[in-house]
Amino acid sequence: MSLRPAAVTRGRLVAAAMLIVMANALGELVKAAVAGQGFFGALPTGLGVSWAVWLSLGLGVRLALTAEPAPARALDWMAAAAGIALAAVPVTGVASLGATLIGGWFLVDPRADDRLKAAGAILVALAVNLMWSKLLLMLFARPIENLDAGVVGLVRGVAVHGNVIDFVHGDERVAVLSGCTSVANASLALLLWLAVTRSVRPKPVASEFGYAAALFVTIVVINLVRLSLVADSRAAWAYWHGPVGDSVVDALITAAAMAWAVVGARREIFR
Amino acid sequence: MRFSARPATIGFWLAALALGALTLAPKLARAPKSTSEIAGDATEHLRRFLTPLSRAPLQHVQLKPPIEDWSGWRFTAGACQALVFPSGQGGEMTAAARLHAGPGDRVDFIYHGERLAAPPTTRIALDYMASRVMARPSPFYVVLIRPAACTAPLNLPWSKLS
Repeated sequence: MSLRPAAVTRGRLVAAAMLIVMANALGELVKAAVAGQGFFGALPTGLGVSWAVWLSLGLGVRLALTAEPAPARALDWMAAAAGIALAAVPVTGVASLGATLIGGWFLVDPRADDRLKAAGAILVALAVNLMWSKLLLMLFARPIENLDAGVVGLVRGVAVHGNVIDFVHGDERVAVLSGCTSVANASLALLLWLAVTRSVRPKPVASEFGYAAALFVTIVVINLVRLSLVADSRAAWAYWHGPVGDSVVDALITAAAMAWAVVGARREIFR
Repeated sequence: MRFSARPATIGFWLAALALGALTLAPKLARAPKSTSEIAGDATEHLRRFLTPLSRAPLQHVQLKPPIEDWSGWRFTAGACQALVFPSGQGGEMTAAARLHAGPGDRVDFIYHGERLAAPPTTRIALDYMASRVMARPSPFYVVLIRPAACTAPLNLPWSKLS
């Protein structure tokens, strides 16, 4: 058995690099979820990661493996090696840097075919969801949390103190944290939308961004309804913030992303 | 999708599998801290700092609303009592901590020993990014609630906390 770099196609190289860097980006999250809830307990919410991420990764790898079978070039090997070297750093956050590097290279390379570019875009979107959106959210979290809390306060007619909302029933309060905001949930939905759309239409078209905007609005509405239910009482908070509520909201977000992707790419899907 | 069973292809995928396992193993070998443990660390860090400085025994204060084990301490400095809370990762506990302030109280923010009138949102976000990449503990600032007329809590050696 021999490993001849010249025999490796660009698509196979991207697929292998995607799997290696994402295993490194997701490994600790999966381990923590399985350790905390057991394998079957963590299964409904995607083993601590969300099924949207797994599905997006699968679609990205499929796109790479079905790309034109051109041999990998020296620069492709260098980008993959640098990305995997970053992923090898024993700090989980750095693996997303590796994903950004590899995905970014194939996304901007003018010689990459549409399927390779699409796989690169999905890998960058995965890195955005796992790291960049969280870091950006830290910079702007307070106004976003306060905005979500303010809208919920208006809807439910309760007092709001920054990101803290009075429960409708009872004298306790609940805080809207960055992970619960509409923007955090939209980041996941947009990832899945991008993965599904690119898998059926590798080359982007201008009109699809309208559907992305519609998806964003849908997710904001779903999240505000969820937060409004949470703000009812401590019991409602425990239900909607627990495994059942999380699974329901995860399923709704996934369904919304799939629905807007199918509507946006209906010509390619139903031709 | 086309899969080839040629030896070179099999060798490539076996090499990828081995590389994936080799890079992932060190991450799986160590136990990452949960949010609850990070919260506990920050609270304990504050307790160790304040214990020798407080003129009366510290009192544990649960944050209201209770959020993932984030809590603070009531301590005595000079002739007055004050409250401290860790800010949470990125400062998201600040609003909840502020709810503990009464009408005659003043809220200050202390970060790296520096007293600030407003939360250092940008600084802590950038420091949090660095901590994620360099595997350092999550940074937090201190939300200090004291009677407006009492400045003694400000005079503690806060720079030794960081």
